[in-house]
Amino acid sequence: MDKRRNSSLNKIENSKMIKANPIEVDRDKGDFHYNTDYEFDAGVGLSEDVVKYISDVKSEDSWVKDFRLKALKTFEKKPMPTHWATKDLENINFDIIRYYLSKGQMPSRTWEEVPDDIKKTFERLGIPEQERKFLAGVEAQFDSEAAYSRMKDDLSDKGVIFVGSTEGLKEYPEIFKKWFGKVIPTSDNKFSALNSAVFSGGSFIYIPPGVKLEQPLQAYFRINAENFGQFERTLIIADEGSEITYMEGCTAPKFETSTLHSAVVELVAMKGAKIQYVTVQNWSNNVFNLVTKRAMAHEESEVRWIDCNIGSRLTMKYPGVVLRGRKARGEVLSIALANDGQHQDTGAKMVHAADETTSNVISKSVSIGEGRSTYRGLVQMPGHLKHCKNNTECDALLINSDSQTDTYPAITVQGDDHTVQHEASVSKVSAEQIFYMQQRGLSEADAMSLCVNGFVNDLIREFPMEYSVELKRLIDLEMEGSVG
Amino acid sequence: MISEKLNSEIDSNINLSSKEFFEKFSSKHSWEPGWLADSRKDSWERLQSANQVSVKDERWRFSPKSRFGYTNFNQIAEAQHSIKFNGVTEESGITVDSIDSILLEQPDVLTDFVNSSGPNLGATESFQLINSYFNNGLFIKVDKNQSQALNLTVDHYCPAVNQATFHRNFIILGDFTELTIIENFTSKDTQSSGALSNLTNFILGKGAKLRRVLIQNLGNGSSFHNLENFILNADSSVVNVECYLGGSQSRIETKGNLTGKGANFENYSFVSGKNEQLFDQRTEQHHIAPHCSSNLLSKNVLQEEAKSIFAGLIRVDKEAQQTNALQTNRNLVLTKEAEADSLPGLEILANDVKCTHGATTSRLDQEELFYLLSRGIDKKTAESLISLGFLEEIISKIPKEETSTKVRDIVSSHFNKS
Repeated sequence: MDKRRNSSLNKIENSKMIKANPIEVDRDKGDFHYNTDYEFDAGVGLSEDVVKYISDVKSEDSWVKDFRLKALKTFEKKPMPTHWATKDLENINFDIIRYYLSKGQMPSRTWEEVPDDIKKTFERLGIPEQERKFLAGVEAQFDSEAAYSRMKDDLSDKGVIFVGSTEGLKEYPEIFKKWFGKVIPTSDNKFSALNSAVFSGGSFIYIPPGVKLEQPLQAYFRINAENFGQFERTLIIADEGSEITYMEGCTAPKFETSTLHSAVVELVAMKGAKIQYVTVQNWSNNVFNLVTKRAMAHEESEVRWIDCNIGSRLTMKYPGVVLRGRKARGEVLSIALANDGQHQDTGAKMVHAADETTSNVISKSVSIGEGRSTYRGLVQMPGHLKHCKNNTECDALLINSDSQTDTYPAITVQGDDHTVQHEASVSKVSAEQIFYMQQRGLSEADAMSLCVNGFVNDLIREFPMEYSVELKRLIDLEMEGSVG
Repeated sequence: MISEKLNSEIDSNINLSSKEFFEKFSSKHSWEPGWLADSRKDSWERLQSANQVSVKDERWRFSPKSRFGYTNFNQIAEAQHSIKFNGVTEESGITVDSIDSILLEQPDVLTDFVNSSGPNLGATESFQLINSYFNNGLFIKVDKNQSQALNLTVDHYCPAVNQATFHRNFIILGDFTELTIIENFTSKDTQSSGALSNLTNFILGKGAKLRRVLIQNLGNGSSFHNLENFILNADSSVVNVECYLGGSQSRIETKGNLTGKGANFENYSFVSGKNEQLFDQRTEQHHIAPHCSSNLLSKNVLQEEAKSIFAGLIRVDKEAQQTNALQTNRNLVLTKEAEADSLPGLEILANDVKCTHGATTSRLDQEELFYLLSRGIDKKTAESLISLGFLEEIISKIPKEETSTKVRDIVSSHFNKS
C-alpha cells in the first residue's frame, strides 16, 4: 500500500517538476548572435568570381565547378516568378547578399573541437543535448558550412553515409553524382538555379538496402551573419527497402536587413524505401525562405514531407513527390502559422507518373494579426495511367480581421481511371466554442489558443514527440496578445 | 437606308484587330453618335496595347489560348436576325429591345452603361473586340417597383464560317423587380463554324430578382466567348443556370460582384463535352459587402477527347464580414483521352467568414455501372443514364419544364452510338 502511494506521490512530484521546468523553446530563442571572424568570405554580391571562389575554396572537381557556372547563367536568365507569386520577391537585393562565409572547411567530429563562438551558439540552441537524447546523427550548419557533424558509430558500420555536400560529391561520387541535380534540375526555377550556383553545406545521405534507421538524423541550420544567404543542398538516397527519418530545424537572429535562405532538397526513395522528412522552420522575420524540395518515389516506396512553417518573412515552399514507380505513395502534411509581417506561401506538388500511385496532402494554416498564408497545390494524372488516387484537404483559420488567406490548387486529370478530391475551407474560430469555454472559466485568450491547438492537433501528432511538444508551445506563444 | 446601315458586313482578308479593318468598320458606322465612336476607338486602342503584352497569364493556365483567337475570322456578320425575342410585352417602364434597333432609334440610352467593365478574368481580346465591333445584343431595362414579373426567351445566332458576331448585352433591373430570362445560343445550320462573342452586364437594384438560363448548343466548329459581369446591390438575388453543350471551343467568364448587403448569387453550370470540344470556364465570386452569400457549382461530363478547365475564385474583401461562400467543381471523366483541369481558388481577407471549395474528378461509379449492365442495359445507355443523373442537380434548376426536357434530350443525344 505504502509503496503504491509513494509511487503515485512520486508521479505527482515528477509532473510538478516538469511543470516547473517547461521546455525551453520560444520564438525568440534563436534571436541572438555572436560576432564571428570568418576565414573564408566570398564578399558581397554575385558574380562568376564568387562562384569560382566557392568552388576553389572547396577544391571541387571540375564537373562541379562547371555545373555551378552553368547554373549561374540560368539564374541570370530566369525572370522572377512575380506573375503568380508575391511582389515581395522584388525586395530581395541580390547585390548586397554575402554568398559564402565560413570558418573552416571540415566539420568537427567531436563537440569539443567546435570553435568556441559557434559552440556557444549551438549549445544555447540545445543541439548537443538533443543529440544525446534521441538522435542517430547530427549535423550543425553555421552559415555556409557545417561546424559539427557526427553520426553513431554503428551506423557507419552498416554503410550509412551522412556527410556534407562537398564531401559527398568528392568522396562518394559513384553514389551521389547519379542523382545530384536530377530530381530538381538547375533550371526548375530561379532559386533552384541560384542554389545550384552557390550551394554549400547541407546533408548528403545514403542508406544502404534494407537498413532501417530507428532514430532520426538531424540537421540544424543557423544563419549568424547579417545580409547573408544560406544555400544548403541536401540529397538523400534511401536504397531498396531502407527507412529513414530526417529532421531539420532552422533559426536566425533578427537583423534589420533581409536575409536569404534558398535550399534545394532532393530525395530519392528506391524500391520499397521509406523516407520521412520533417522540417520545423523557425527563421526570424527578416528571412526570405525560398526552398525547392522534391522527391522521386520508385516502386512501392513512400515519401512523407512533414512541414511546419512558423518563422520567416516570406516562405515559398511546395514540397513535391514524383511518383515514378508502381504503387508509390507520396504525402505532404503541412502546418503554417503566419503572424504580423509574415507570408507563408506553402503547398504541395504531386506528379503521378506510374500506375496505382497514391498521394495525400493535408495542409492547415493559421493567420494571425496581419499575417497571410497561402496554399498552392498541383496534382497531375496523365491518361495512360491506371488507378491513381489523390486526396487534398486544406483548412485555413483566420484569427483577426486583418488576417488573410489564399488557396490556389491546380488539378489536371486525364483518363477515366483516377480519383481526385480536393477540399478547402476557411473559417474563423467559432464563437460558440469560445463562449462554451469562457463559460467554464477560461479566459478568451486561453480558449482561443486551445481552439487553435485543436485545429492543428491531428497534424501535430504526426511530428516526432519532441517536436510536437515544442510546436504546441510555439503556437501558444504565437497566439499571445492576438486576442482582445 | 436602314438596310444600308445594317449590312455592315465587311469583306476583306485582314485581321479583325488591324487598323485597316477598324477604320473600314468605323466609316460604315459613321452615323453612330460621337460618344459611341469614341468608346469603340478607345476599346480598339486598348486591344492594340493588350496584344503587345506577352507575359504568361495565370488566367490562361492550362488553356490552349490559340484556339480562342480570332485569326480565322475576317468578317463581322450582319446584325439583322442575329437575335430574336419571344414573349415581349409592351408596357411602360420596361424596355426590351435588340441593340441593333437601339443603336438606330435611341442610342443615348446606352451612354450610362456602355463603359461598364467586364468580368476581367483574362479574355481581354474578346472584351475589347466586342466593345469595338458590337452591332447587336439585347437591352433589357426594367424601371424600379415594376410589380409584374417578366418572362422572356431570347435566341442568339452564331454566324457562318469566317464570320464573327459580337453581342453586347445589358440587363438592368430596377429596385424590387423580377425577371426570368432564357437565352439560347444556336447556329443557323449545324456545321457553321463562326464565332459568337457575347458580353453581358447584369445590374441588379435593391431587392431585384433575376433568374437566368443560358443554353449553348452551337454547331460543330464554332467558337463561343461568353463574358458576363453581375452587379448585385443590397438584397438582390441571382440564380444563373448555364448549359454548355455545343461548339468547338468555349471560353466562359462569369463574375458575380456582391456589392450590397444581403445579396445572394447562385451560379450553376454544366458541360457535356465530346469529340475535341474545349470548355474553358473562369469564374469569380467577389464579396465586397458584408452578409452576402454565394454558391457556385460547376459540373463537367467529358467523353472522347473533350477537355474542360474550371478555374474559380472566391474573393472576400476585408469589409465583407459574415460572408458565406461556396464553390464546387465535379468532373466525370468517361474516357482515357478526356481531360479535366481544376483550379479552385480562395482569397480571403475577412476573418468572420465561411468559405469552402471542393473539387473532385473521377470516372463513373463502377458499381452503379455494373448494376445497370446486369439488368441488360447496354453500356452507352448506362453511361448516359448515370451522366444525366449526375447533371440533374443542375438541370432541375431550370425554371421551365419545356426547356429542361430539351436540355436532357440534348445530353442524351451525346451518348448516341454513331
